[in-house]
Amino acid sequence: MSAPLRLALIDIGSSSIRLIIGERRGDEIKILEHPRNALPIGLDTFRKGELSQEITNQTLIRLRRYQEIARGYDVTAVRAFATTAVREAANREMFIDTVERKTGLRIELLPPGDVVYYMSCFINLRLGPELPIRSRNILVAEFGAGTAEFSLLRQGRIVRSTGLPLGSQRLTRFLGQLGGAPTAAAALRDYISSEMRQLKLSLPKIGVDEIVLISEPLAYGLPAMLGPARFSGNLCSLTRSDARALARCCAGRSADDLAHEYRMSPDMAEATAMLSLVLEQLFSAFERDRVFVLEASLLEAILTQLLMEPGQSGEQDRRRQLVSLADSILRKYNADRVHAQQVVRLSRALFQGLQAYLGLSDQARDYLELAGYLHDIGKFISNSGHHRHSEYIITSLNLFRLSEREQKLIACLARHHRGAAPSEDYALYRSLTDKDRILVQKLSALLRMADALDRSHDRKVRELQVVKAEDAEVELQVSCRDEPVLERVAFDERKHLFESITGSSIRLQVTRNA
Amino acid sequence: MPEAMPVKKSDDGARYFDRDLNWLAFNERVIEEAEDQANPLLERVKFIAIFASNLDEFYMKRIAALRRVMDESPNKSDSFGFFPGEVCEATEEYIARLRGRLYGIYDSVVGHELKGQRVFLKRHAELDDRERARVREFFETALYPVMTPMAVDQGHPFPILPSKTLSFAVMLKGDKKHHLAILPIPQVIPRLFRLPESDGAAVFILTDEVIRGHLDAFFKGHEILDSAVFRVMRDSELDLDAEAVDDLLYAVEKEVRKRPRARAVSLEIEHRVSDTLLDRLRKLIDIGDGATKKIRGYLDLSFLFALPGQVSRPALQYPGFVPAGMTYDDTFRRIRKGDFLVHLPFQSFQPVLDLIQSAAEDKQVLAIKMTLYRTTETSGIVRALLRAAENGKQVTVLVELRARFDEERNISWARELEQAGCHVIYGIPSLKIHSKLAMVIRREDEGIRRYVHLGTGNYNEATARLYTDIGFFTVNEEIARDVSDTFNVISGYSQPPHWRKVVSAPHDLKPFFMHLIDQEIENQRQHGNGLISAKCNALQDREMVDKLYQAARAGVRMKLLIRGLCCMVPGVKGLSETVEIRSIVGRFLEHSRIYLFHNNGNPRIFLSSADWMKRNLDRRIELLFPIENEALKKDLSWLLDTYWQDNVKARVLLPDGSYARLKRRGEALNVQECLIKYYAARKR
Repeated sequence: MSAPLRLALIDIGSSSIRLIIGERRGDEIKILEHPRNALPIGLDTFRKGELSQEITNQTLIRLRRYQEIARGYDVTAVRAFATTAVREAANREMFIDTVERKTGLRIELLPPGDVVYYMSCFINLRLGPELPIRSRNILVAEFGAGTAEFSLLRQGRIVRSTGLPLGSQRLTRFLGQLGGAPTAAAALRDYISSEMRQLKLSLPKIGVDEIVLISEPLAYGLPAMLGPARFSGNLCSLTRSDARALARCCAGRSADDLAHEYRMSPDMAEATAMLSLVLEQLFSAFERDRVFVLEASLLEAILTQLLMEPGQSGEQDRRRQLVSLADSILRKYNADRVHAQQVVRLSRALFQGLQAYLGLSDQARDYLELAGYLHDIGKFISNSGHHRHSEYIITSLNLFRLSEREQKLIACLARHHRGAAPSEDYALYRSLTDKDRILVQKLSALLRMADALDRSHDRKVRELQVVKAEDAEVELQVSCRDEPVLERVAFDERKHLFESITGSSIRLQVTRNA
Repeated sequence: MPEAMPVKKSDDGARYFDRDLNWLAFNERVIEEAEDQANPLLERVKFIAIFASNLDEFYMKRIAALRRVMDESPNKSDSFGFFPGEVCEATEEYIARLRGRLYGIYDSVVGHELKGQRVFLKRHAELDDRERARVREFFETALYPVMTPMAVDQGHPFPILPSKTLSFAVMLKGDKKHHLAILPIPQVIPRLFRLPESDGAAVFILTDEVIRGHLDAFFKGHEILDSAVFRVMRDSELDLDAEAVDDLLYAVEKEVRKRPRARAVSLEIEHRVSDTLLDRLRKLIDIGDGATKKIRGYLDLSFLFALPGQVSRPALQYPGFVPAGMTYDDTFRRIRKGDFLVHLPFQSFQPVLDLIQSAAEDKQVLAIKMTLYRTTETSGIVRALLRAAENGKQVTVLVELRARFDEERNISWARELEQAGCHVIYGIPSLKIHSKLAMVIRREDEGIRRYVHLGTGNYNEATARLYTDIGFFTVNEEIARDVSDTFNVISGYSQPPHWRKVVSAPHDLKPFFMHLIDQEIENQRQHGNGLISAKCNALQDREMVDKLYQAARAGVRMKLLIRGLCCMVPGVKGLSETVEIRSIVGRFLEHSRIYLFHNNGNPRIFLSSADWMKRNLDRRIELLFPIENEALKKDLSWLLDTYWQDNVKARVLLPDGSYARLKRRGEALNVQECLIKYYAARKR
């Protein structure tokens, strides 16, 4: 019998650091350890914009302790993840480097979408019958210390993801700025209410069946304040009157008072108090009778995903989710979805035929396809120079599950799908590493050709095949229903980048297909 | 008991006994065992020693604490309403009476009954020539070379005398004025010296008596005007700053070193001492008249612990017994087969040793984690942990250095463990680690399995033969998670988590007890069957006592076996009519903690390291763990019933604070003797 896979995962969150050690036993995940230490990492990031030396040292102490615990379990791997507090810190690279030098752990920065993704996978795997995420429209809200990430899932696929400044530490800070003003509480309510209205306006009008909140302080605070019988398994169904009761429990009380009365740590108590206000506004904004609160940590969700669905399925799911999100963005910006899909199809065919020739990784295909979907999105602003508009729209989007680097790559591809070739004259391109610049050169070359082959936006090309890919020459064969006059012209204009970076000439062979 | 056990009344009519006076009442029950002719003679001798030793600890801990409170806030009452001054006065009176009784029984047992058995403890003057010669030889070879008299004058300050150190105070005649010298008796020399046997008689003399016979050898050329043996008891509290302590080991070590200079709380001296010598001594020790005791007889009767072991008279001792063992080939397989309990000392401590020793050698074992509070110097457990570290296991030991009076010993083996590569953690400055838990993490075919042992008593092979405790072995996943979490919390690796099965102090245990009691109140209201049956060592937490009164007023029946101090007043109309409190003091020290809540016919039973004392519930890390296996629940339920049936060693606490033996109806039942037989007969 092969030894069970056993993993140790560490989450460096905004207000705490946690470890989880678990292994798979058949269809069950067995959690062996799940310690937590409060550490206000987010305070540094949200106040000063970067992580202090003190926080770095405290983090190192805890990471070493967790490594010590993990050693006692002979784990297959120890992985460390970080979210908002590290992601948003200006000195995150130095922090990550210090942690790696001193502990050997390479921190993986999770984009906001990954958090929702892992949680939704967890809901699907563990709570399928109670919360059929694949057949309903569900708004998932993940409350961190800095931001609250709201993601709308249509039948399990993300259609919109947006971050609001409603994290517990941000709210506490906001309240602090208001000082002891008698109207402070009302001002905070107004602030939350306004953010909720914005949220509602930003969501596609598809109807929300259920709302699921993911918040460790709430999962801890609810049973403590409202009674232990609230949770059934990992879910707590919370009514509007429960939310009011929770807010009453917290109103006018200090974190220390609450911590003492309900036997919570002060950081948890403070976060619960802040979130009780958000909950009230959420009920009002969405006119709900109930919301669910999920009692599971991000680490538990990642562990479940890594142990239950190891290998590629996670990547495939990520791709599906990204495509779904891209499509939803096209709708939002009234883009030509048919053209976008055609460019993606042609890009895919080009990628498939030239992947080995260009030495591209599988992941590069995702960047090319996403750029294919979004390359014309700038037309929403203006047709003229739309590739420039596409660049800044993409860099400003809340793109589900993409890291900052990946988002920049895609924006850069969209920027150079037409016009000038990528070069150091362009700031975004300059900000990339050498390796990523080469990637952008190669993928831009493909995207430019794919876009050219649907120049008429009329889907004239039915099939595309790379029929020859040799050192000196590359030959494409396309079958079209009509004569692709515009496409031929555009192709000749746009093929130069490919030829200049490969040193090969590229030839287009057109066959007519009625 | 005192003339009348003082009782404080609260506004709502609740009543409370004082903790210290009630503890002295417990020690009075120990003296009753020394008086009890039904006990074998040498065991009665041991009870005298136990009483004496208990009283010493009481001085160093409780009297010292009361004095501190009197100095700092004399007008502040404790949580029950007792003021330190009144308690001090009442305890001193009570102790004086108990001490009189102690020396009475000492004279009777050692002075008469042992002589009848040809066991003699002689004064120097009573020795014959042959014995004198042997004693002189002993003095010259073993005592004289290691003893140093110390002059006390302007150039020589009073020597540092650790608590309990017996010393001679000697007044010497000088040319112009008299000189004081102090002659401490080294604690390493056994106090009881056995003389050669003649005609089957066992003859002993105390080292202090030997020294008295040769005192002039230390002061040649001086005339001894007066001499007396004395000892000082000092405050044993360690002054650890909860906030500022980074290195607990260093801090405890430093504080322990200060202990010989700690405030003196009592001076005991032979009654023959002259007023001049006593006054001088008092001034030098800085102790008042009220804290000085003149003793008619030997000081520190705890030397009697050693006597039975040096006299081969099995007929004068409890019949020997071998703790019932368990048979299994493989410890791990046995634990996997099903949860089980081990009831010490009736059953052997071996399964605990086996678990740790097997873990040290087993190739599949990855890690061992355990708490150590008090253990023995030659502990098999410590040796096994050292071996496990040598074998590359991850060994984590949470050492509580501050086990009172064992601090130095703990520092020594904690260092040894550290040097061997064990990860030794010294806990939290403000909280003592009192929970007893061990966990072995083993890699098996199906995955990780954690073997857990939870106990009501310490991992100490010596006390495992003397204290009644219960250990629980399990591989239950939820309990293992909780135990893992407990280790992480204590070692500062995590904040307290949600508990699954166990409940821990100081955060959750008291509210959990309150919740359980509330449920019994509700059961009483709805079904009329509220019942709490508990066995522990002390009931002193005010909130717990009040909650129990609330339950009693609601009609919940309570059968409480509280071995030691108890602040609750049972049997008071309208307050505690439904409460019966008993104490069992016998051959073994009752130490197990079992809590049973009737729960409307589906009893919830727990074992714990905690008593119902404020220190356990608020200032220590303690664990309460449920026993859910039906067969084991039945065993524990039976055990509580059997304890309740004891009519030989059980005393019932009366509303006036006195303890009375039960009126025996039917056959005599001594629960400890009964359990020896029960476990011997039971096949495992």
